[in-house]
Amino acid sequence: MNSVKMIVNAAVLGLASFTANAYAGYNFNFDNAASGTSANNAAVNPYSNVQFLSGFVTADLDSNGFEILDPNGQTVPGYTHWEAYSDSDIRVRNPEEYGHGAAPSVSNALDAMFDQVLISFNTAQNLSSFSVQLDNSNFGGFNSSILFLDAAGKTISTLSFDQFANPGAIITGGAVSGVYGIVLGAGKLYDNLNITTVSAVPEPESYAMMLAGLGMMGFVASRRRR
Amino acid sequence: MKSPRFALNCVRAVVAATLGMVAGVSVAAPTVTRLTPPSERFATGVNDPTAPMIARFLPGQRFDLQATIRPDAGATITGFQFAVDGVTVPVTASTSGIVTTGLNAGLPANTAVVSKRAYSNNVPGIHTLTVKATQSDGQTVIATGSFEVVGITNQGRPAKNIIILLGDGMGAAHRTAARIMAKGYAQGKAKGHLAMDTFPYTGMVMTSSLDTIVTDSAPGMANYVNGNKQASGQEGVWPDDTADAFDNPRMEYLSEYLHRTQGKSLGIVTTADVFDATPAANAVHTSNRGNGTGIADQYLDDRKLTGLTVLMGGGRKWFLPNASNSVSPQPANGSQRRAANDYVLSSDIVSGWGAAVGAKDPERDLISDFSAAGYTYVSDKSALQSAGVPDKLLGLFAYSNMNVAFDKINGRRGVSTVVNDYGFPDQPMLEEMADKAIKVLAKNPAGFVLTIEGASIDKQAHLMDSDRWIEEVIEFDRAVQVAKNFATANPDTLVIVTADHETGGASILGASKVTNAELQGKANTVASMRNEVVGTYQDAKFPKYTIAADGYPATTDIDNKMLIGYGANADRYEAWIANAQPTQDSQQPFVGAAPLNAYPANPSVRNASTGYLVTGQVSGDQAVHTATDIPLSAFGRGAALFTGVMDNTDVFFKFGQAAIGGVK
Repeated sequence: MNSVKMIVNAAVLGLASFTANAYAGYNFNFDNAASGTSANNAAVNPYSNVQFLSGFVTADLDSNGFEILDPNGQTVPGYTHWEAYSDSDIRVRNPEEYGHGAAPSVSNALDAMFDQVLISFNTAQNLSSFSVQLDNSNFGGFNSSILFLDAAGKTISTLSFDQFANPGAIITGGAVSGVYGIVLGAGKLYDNLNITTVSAVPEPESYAMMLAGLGMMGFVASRRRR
Repeated sequence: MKSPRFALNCVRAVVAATLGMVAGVSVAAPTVTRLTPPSERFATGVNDPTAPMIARFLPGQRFDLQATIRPDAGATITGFQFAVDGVTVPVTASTSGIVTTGLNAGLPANTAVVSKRAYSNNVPGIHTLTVKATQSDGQTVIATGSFEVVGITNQGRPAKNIIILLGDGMGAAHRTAARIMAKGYAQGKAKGHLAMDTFPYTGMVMTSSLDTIVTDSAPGMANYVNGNKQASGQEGVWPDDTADAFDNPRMEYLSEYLHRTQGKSLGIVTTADVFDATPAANAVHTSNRGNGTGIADQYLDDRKLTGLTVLMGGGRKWFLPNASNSVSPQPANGSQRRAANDYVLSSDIVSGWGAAVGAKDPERDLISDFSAAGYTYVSDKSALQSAGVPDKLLGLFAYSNMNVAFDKINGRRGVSTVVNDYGFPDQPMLEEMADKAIKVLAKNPAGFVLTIEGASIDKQAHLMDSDRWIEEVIEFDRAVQVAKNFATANPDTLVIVTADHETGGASILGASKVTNAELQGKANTVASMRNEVVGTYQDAKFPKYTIAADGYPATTDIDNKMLIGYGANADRYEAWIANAQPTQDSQQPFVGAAPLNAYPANPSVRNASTGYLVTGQVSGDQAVHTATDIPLSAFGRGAALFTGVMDNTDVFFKFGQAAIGGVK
């Protein structure tokens, strides 16, 4: 399956982002385009620093390039990371058309009914707050979670919630640093996505460390391709 | 000098006296004789972490808590309390109950069955379940069991649609026989593959049920779609100690869970009577798979729980009114509805589950009620084809089990009158029903769960009618192709092909060493019909069937035909030639009248004048199910989950992962 590794995204796109816009936050209501429009359409997503993708979790590789699996051939918790599908097709839709109740605001929401949404940032984001509103159905399963990912696609923070008991709830989170991606679990639509960030101006020595780090990530990516 | 034997007996006497004293103390408290959900912890009294976890659930999946408590003589049970991990489960009067009447025979007076309906737990992990009961003199008892909530993790794209193709009784040999007949072999290689052969992932399934290594179809199907072991003849429930077959402790089906949490629809398509165990074990909760009237009623009554949108198969006899509440004499309309096998639910089930209360109403016109509820009703293939794509669909194409492919195809070819004898000359093939079902279900943007059953693979293997069950597998495989085509066009669909168990111990012995003409002329002796006919190893060569444009063999009576044996057989006369008529089906309401009463009664008399007697290893008239593992093949979103050797209940949790957490 073709996929874009988060780590490659972070390294390659991260370089370009040094000259990209720095946003203090990201706010989406998904209502500025017709139902069915791509979530990456500029009318929906005006931020050049953000992409809505589809993602999946997969095993890490060991030093020999083999997947780290348990004796049953399953991925091992802690030895996994998220990657993005190359054929992502995330759209905004009217939840009411799919039996998920009226949109929490206006008419549209972000469609994650049958595809988990991976919000990918070109650069590391230091979140001071996060909130997103669930659709007004009680679908969406139990123990759903929102994951915050680092540059390697590994989970660094989790928000858990139960939509069945709380349709239309606003899920909020606090400060998380170094976020390169956010995974919104499937089975529902999301609305009113608000991410507030704290801009961190790198110290001169940090630039050197980041460049060294990017070089290391490139090395890792290269080894994986062998 | 006393003998060592005497000394030993003295020790035994002391031990017995001591135990008697202990027992004397123990009778001053009630006892818990059943704690549901079942667990090894309760059954053995030992908290062994290596013991298998019998009851497992998806997060939030609903199930009943129940205990049977026997008070001391003269006492009554005055209170009970369930707790999970030490935390009391809140009990409300409307969703719990104490039942002390209508219990199974042999239980002591005042025995109580206490329940908490529709409990659920969202926290993954192993949980401790305790029940504490108090009797009228204040004495209490505490019993402990366990259950597990299986965690679902976000992994990728979920499966929107799940299609379960269940070839009832279809073991590996059944699949192989259909491939040999339908595709042929050349120099040891198959000249083609069945549709199910082309699925990229295959595993093996252990099929045992709660109470036996050899399952029947009720738990065999239900174990796949609610994740829990059920007992023989039971579907969607665990055993209890009451006589009512519709009040047993329930567990939520995949259809109910995904309809409640994701809005998915349910479709059930079968070649059997729709009350039969496999179809019913997707939607109906009863401890008696034979309760046809109540089963048929519950399909409609609880459609809001299951999301039932498509129901197709045979079984019209349960849907037609029977004002007399009698089947002797048989009503002219073929109805076999009876109050005795209908249902009325207790108030705690109604309140806890949101289920319909039901009614014992043999006079009910269930087809009319389905129509009033918005279902388009079709009664034959022509009506099915002209129905378009309605929002909801009910198709009942025979009084009971539909005719098998062998007879339907020969009817379409105009070379057999069997379907006319049954009174249903225009029955659809399974792939035609499957195609329509998928079109209807695909209208739901939230997705669907669809079970498609090739039922008579099992039924004809029971009857050891080899030509008929092989063609049943061919028909089933054509439905597999329909599902595969849909999943190819809709890649958010998961398709699995499997069976509930193997039937007959079927084995491909080899092939006939003689031409069909020679076989027809053989004497019915072992020397003639076995020793001169059965070719094994290189004598079998490669049977060559000619496949007609309709996809089925022009005839199964070819020269050097494939020969089937049975390892779990009853007595039968084997003539190797295809039977012109099927063996009688006791489920047909008019089986006792002409012309069906002239059909062969059973394999122990069928071909008695033309075949040789093969002595059975089991009693009765039919071959039986076996405990062998059966193959499972998977295609589409999440198919990679279905590899290795798995328990049948594991399949449910793989569905859950695919439909909720998604797969990479």
